[in-house]
Formats: sequence, structure tokens, C-alpha cells
Amino acid sequence: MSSPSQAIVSESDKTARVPLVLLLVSAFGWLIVSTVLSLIGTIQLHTPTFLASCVAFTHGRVDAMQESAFIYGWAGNAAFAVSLWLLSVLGGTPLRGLGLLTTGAAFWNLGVTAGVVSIAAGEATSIPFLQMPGYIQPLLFVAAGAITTPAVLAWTGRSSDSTYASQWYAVAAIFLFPWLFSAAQVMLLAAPVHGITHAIVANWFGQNVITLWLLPVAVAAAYYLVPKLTGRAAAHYEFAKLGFWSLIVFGAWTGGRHLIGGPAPVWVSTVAVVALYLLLFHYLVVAINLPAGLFAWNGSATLRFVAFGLTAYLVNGLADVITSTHAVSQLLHFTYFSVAQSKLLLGGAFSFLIFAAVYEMGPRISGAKWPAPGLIGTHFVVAASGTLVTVLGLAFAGWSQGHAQAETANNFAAVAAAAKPGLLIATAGEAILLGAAIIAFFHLVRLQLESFSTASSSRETPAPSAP
Amino acid sequence: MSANHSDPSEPRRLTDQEIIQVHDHAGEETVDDGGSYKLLPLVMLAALSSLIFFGGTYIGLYAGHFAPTVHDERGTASAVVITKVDPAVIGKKKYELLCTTCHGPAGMGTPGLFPPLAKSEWVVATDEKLIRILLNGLAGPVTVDGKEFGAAAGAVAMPAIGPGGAGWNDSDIAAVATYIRQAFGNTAPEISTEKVTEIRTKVGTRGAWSSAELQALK
Repeated sequence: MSSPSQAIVSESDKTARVPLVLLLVSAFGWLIVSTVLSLIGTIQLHTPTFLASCVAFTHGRVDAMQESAFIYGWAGNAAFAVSLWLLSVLGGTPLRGLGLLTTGAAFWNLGVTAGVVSIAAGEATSIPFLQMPGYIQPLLFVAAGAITTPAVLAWTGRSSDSTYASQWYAVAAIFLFPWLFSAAQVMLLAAPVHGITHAIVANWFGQNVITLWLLPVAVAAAYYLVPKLTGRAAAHYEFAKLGFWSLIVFGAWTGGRHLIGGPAPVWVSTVAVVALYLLLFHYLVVAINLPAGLFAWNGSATLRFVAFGLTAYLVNGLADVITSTHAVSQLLHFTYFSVAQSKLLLGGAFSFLIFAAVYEMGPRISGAKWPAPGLIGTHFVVAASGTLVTVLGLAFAGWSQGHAQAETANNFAAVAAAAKPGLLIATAGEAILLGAAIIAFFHLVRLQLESFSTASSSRETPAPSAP
Repeated sequence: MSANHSDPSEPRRLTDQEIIQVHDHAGEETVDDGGSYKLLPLVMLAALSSLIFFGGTYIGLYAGHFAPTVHDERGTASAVVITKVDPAVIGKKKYELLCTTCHGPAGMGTPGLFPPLAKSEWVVATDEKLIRILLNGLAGPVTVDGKEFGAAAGAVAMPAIGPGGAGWNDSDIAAVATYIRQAFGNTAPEISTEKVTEIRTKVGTRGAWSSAELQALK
């Protein structure tokens, strides 16, 4: 009997190797950049003099650069790669339009590089999740169009009429991102709306970039990897469709939660809070569908990434509901606690599910095995501990900060002092995460080098993997 | 070292086509056979319905009926009235902006030049005269609380702050009049915006009043 790991390395996986590897290597490179910036930014929170004399690395710019490098560099590249690959393998069709894809991927990364550099030069827009200056944004939009066209082709050209949940989530992400991105570019940068509407649109965009673009890709990866790796079908899969539509329909309304206690009409935040409650149904469906066999700790390291990511995803859903209630929101809103939540969601849920997807797709698009499988387990331990330390440190900082702020007698210095212990813990966590990012990048690059040597040697002898 | 995929303890992996096939017919075996409901669909239905019920109630209570002016989650629809600000508060601000220059922060004025507002019969005795002075100003000497003011200067002492002068609107004039009637130890009733409007319409455009003209009013 041939080993399953050999059987799955099929030709159709390898055709899109160049653009997918380009996206993945860029993604992991940006992850290192964003983690370094995140480390600098966290140090500055408790030691404000750090790099304060270097204007490009003052806290405001570091924060904006970190966000752009993480969202558009790491998350964007990785989400594109994973959704393209999922649509290709589940559609049973090789990716088409590869020249367009490669060009788009190259220009996307040029655009993000130019954007991050211009933020360092002081050109940030100050709009959350849209920090890169307005003259870069159209380039990113066109590049995103070029990257997602092959995904649309893979969807429309799929070999079977039946589709699977992963495909729905991936396709939704592919179609919703251009809508969000173009609407935000026009309404916030090109022809900006005025007054409080600007804040409402900015929060709608910022939240939905996560809820409707990045998270669906992560959930698509989870829906693919759990049956794949455990060999079992998703439990009660008949509800998956409801889970999908509840994310798409309710998720789009959650942006106003950042405006709780803000100057917007109260219905904007109330509707967002209700949408967060309704999203519990989505989390319930995911929780019923996926955990079958997930917590078997003797399973593969890849499965551990899925387990951690899904747990973080579900915990975050509950935390969203709890922190949006009035009493809790008064205490924790506008503190480091919301930073901790976003770390848990993006660094925990999204990143871990994407890591798992990359560990699955890496060998299949490269035609070689991971050169050091033990490193996957190491990456998991380092990344998981780094994420937990960072999230708990920030949550602790936010908790202390919220209580210190609630005392009217406290001045700014007293509030900052209260948050400091938690921020020191978070700094340690960021340093661990930097180690994790370097391990992942190093391993991915070694896989590519390995596969080139395999490819050159297999010209003389038939590839042992071909069944 | 071989990839851990080939470890025999690993569960069998599904192929991509198998993933689609095993899920394609999911749910079909849950057809209602024998008239017995499966428990889980009912639980899911109950979960979704209760979330929607809860959400609807929450919106009904805390969305301020979608009014653009409601900014407080706890502001229920009936409480959504524009709160009337105490005119004396606005009046104090207005007073400190302009009047305090001559009449002083405590309303004591300057002996011989600017009359006091505290215990002034012009302020507390009659609203007719006070509103006219505020609207159009007061020129020439005036006797307040038994003392002479403005005789030496001979010029306009009190400028008009109504539409012909500083340009305040009726509600601001009513507010500042209310303030000076209730501050500095004065305890006269407040003056309404409507009263100011009424007198302004009756008087029309004119220059400053003299003390004698005002005394001639009933």
C-alpha cells in the first residue's frame, strides 16, 4: 500500500507552485516584520523613550506600520494563498491565470512595501486598517483583483457540482474583500464622507476586513483540515450552511461595536451588539461541526494548530459578546483588553488555522516533504506559548488599566503605572512570537530549497512519489 | 526522518474528492423516519430562535428607536426629550463673556461709572425696563439704589446687546436677564424668551433709552 502522504502529492497541486510560494514566503516574511514592529510598539507602551529619537519609529508610526504589515502583508498574502489553494484542490481543477496571479502577487507586495515605507515617512492616513496612504491603495486594489481572478476561475471551473463548506467560506472571502476594500477606499479616502459617518464607515471596514475576509479563509481551512487529518466527516454537517450564512449575514453588522460609548447614534452600536449575540449561532455550528477527534493530542502537530486556532476562534466569539455588554464595556473598552482580544483573534485563531493550512499545502505545492517535521511541533509550542503570554499579558494590562481609569482620582501617570506589569508580560510574549515567526519562515524557505534539489535529482530518476 | 504522515498510528486521511463526497449527502439520512423528530435540529432551532428573540428585545430596549439624536444606550424612547438647560447657567456664561467687564463678576459695578446689578431696582422691580435696556442700551445719567451713575461721562454707558447691538438672540437675552435677577443676592422671577420677543417686536428698531424715557413707562 502506498503511503497516503505520497498519494496526495498530485500534479494538479504543483502547477500553481510559483505564485503560491511567492505569496506564502512573502506572508511569512511580513509576519517577521510585523512581529518586530509589534515588539517595538509594545516596548514603547511601557518605556516611551525607546526609539523616541528616531522619527520613523515613534509609536504612532510603528503602530500603523505593524497593523499594515500584519493585515496586508502577513494575513492578506496568506489568506490569498490558502483560499486559492483550497478552491483549486476542492474544485478538482488546477489554478488558471497563473501569470496574472504571479503579477498580482508581486505588485501586492510591492504596494504593501511602499505603503509601510511611506507610513514610516509620516504619510499614514490614521484610519484603522487603512493606514497606507491613498496613493498606494488603488494599486493594492488592482493587485488584489489580479490575485483573486484565478480563485473565481477555480470556483466557476470546478469539476463537481457538489461543493463543500470550505469552498463557500473561501469564495465568500474572495468576493467580499473587493467590495469592502473599494467601498472603504472611496468613502474614506477618495471622496471621504464627513463627520461621524466617517467613523462609522471606518469601523465597518476595519471589523469586516477581519470578519468577512480573513476569518472566512481561516474557517475554510479548518473545515478542510479537520476531516482531512482526522479521516472523519464533520459532525452534523447539515448545519454547516446555516453556520456559513449566519457569519455572512450577522458578521457584516458587527462593526459598530467599536463605537460603544462613542458619539454615534446609539442604534449603530446596539445593532452591532445584537449581531455579536446572533453570531453565537455561527460559533455553535462550528463547534458542533468540527471538534470530532480534534483534541487527540497524539495527533499530528498540524492538527494541534487547528485545535488551538479553533479554540481561540470560539473563545473570542464568547469574549466579544461578554465585553460588548454595557457594564463590561464601560470598564474595558478603550483599554489594552481590546488589543488582547484582537491578538487572540488574529494572532491566535486566524494565524494558527493558516499555519495549519500552510503545513498541509506546503509539501503538496512543492512536491517535497517538510525537511524537519519536528520543527512543526516546535513552532506550535513556541507560537502557542507566545500567543498565550501576549494575550494574557495584554488582558491583564487592560484589566488593571480599566480599573485604574475608573477611579477619578487617578491621573494619567497612575493609570500607565497600573498597566505596566501586564505590558511587560506582553513584551515577553511578543519576543517569543518573534522566535515562532522566524522558525516558520526558516522552515518554509528550507522546504523550497529542498524541493528544488528533489526536482533536479528526479530528472534523472522517476519521482518516487508518483503513484 | 520520514514525514509524520506515514506514521501508522495516524488516522487515514481523506482525499479531496472524498471530503466532498462524504459531506455531499449529509443530512439526507435525517429525514423524519417514523414521525420521530431528531433532537438536535430542535435544539438548534430553539437556539437560533432564542437568540433572535433576545436580539429583537435588545434592539427594542436599547436602540433608541433608531433616532439619530439618541446617543445613550439607556435613553428609552419616552425619555428622549431634549433636556431644557437652566437659563441661569447659560446666562452666567453669557454674563461672563460681556457684562462682567463693566458690572463686575459679583455684579457690584464701579462707583460713579457703572451701576451695580445687585439690589438694583432696574433689574429686580420690572421686567419691562430691564429687557428694554438689554435690547437697546441705556444712555445718560441714571440713579440706581439712590446713587448717581454716568453723569460725568455723558456718553452711552450701557451698549445695546440685542439685534441692533451685540446681536444676541432673544433666548440669550432672556437667559442673561434671568441670571442677573437670580444672582448677586437678587431673587426676582425668571424672564422668558417669549417676553423678550414680545417687547422686541413692540419696540422695533431704535437707539438707546434714556433714564427718563424708561421712568415714563408704567
